[in-house]
Amino acid sequence: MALREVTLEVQKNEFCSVLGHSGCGKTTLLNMIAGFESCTEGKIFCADAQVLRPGADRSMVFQDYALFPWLTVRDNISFGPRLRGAVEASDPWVAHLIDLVGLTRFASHFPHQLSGGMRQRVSIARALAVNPTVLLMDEPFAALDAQNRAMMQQEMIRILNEETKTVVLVTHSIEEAINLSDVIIVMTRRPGRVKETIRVPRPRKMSEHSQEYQALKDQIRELISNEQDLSDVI
Amino acid sequence: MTKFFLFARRFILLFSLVLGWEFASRAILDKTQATLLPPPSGVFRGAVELAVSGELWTHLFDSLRREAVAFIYASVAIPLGVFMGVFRWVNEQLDAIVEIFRPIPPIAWIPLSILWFGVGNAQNQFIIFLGIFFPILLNTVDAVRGVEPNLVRAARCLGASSFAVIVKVILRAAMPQIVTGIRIGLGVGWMALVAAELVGASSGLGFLINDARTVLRTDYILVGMLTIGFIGLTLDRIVRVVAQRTMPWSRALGG
Repeated sequence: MALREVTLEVQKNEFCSVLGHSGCGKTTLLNMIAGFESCTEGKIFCADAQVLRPGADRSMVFQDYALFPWLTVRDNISFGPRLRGAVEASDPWVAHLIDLVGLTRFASHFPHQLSGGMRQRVSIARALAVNPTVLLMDEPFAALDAQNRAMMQQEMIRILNEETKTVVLVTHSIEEAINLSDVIIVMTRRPGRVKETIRVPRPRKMSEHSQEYQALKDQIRELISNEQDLSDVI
Repeated sequence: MTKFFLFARRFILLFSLVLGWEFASRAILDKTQATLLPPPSGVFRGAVELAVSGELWTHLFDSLRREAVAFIYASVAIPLGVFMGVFRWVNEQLDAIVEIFRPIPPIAWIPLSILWFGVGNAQNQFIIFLGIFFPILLNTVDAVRGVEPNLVRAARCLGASSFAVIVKVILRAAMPQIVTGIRIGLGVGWMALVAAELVGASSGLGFLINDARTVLRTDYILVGMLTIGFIGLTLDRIVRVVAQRTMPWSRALGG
């Protein structure tokens, strides 16, 4: 059993991070919201509609990008809209998204010609292209090196300033959660429950070196380390 | 200039052997033995004869046409393979049947096929079909099963229906390996073609080399053999080049 009892509510346009050690069930939770897995008990609702299967109202950004290698950047991003009908790949909405993630010069490139950070940006633009009710992100920057990761977090803030979205992000990085979120859900270890729900003061405006940032970081670290199975360490 | 020399250097041994063969055939072997193994110059002359008389091209085109027709029929293996790969129950039922027939070499079907189809095009194409079909089927099933699950998930959460997932994602993702199956299938089919034509045809390269045997034209036999090898190689190369050009993103194809 991956999850025990989870009750969660995310407000519109809120950025919610789900934080916890590996195996705490946070990815399972995200998969359930996405509709890839079903819960044995309980229900999930997205904008008053029950979640029963995957759909474009809950699009996902994957850790390994999952870009379609046979499609260009532009065609990857326009994949969703084009499914629904006569949308040209040159659609202004698609062009706007390509520009938003800073890849206008690479619109005709293929994924294998791009770096990891660029691929993730395509992935984000692709997920945004279908105008989802909520954007799901499964450890999206875990495959990037530290510098790129920090940069992508800033990019994420900038993108969301322009295209406000409700976001649920799964991560095991405390800093990432603090840098991006309005609210942080700390999970216990397997079988996961919500241990604590923390509201971030002055979301995305705190300086990394400030007292409040460090205090928050310590608080969360305390919560998580209590959850660490000592047999993992020994 | 150096590039050319580096390239030409690879052919030194081959060239020496050919020269040695020419010399041996003319100076050492007696008349009877020379009939059994004509010198390179003899083979070359035979090739020119066959080319000029048009025979070589007729047989070549007949063989190629059989391969092409059999391939068109055998390409049913692609949708079948997709079905088997996507739907577990289809694979479960068909697997036993496939595993019974697959190990039987196409050549082993020759006697039965002659009884069924008589001697001629249909019989040839049946054998070739069997050769092409199974590699394509197996590679397709494998390719479909091996499609990265997150690609399917990504498509679903972008709003793709099951049909769109199969056609727009699974098929595209599986294509490199399907093409590998095609390449292998064409190779096996070509081998099966030669065997089928040896016993059951009145035209084609396989027929040519057997027919030449009956009149002791060993030079024709060698021309036929070399042509068979060359065409087989060319078919393989063409598929590979086309695949690499149209699917440059695939690492499986060496992209």
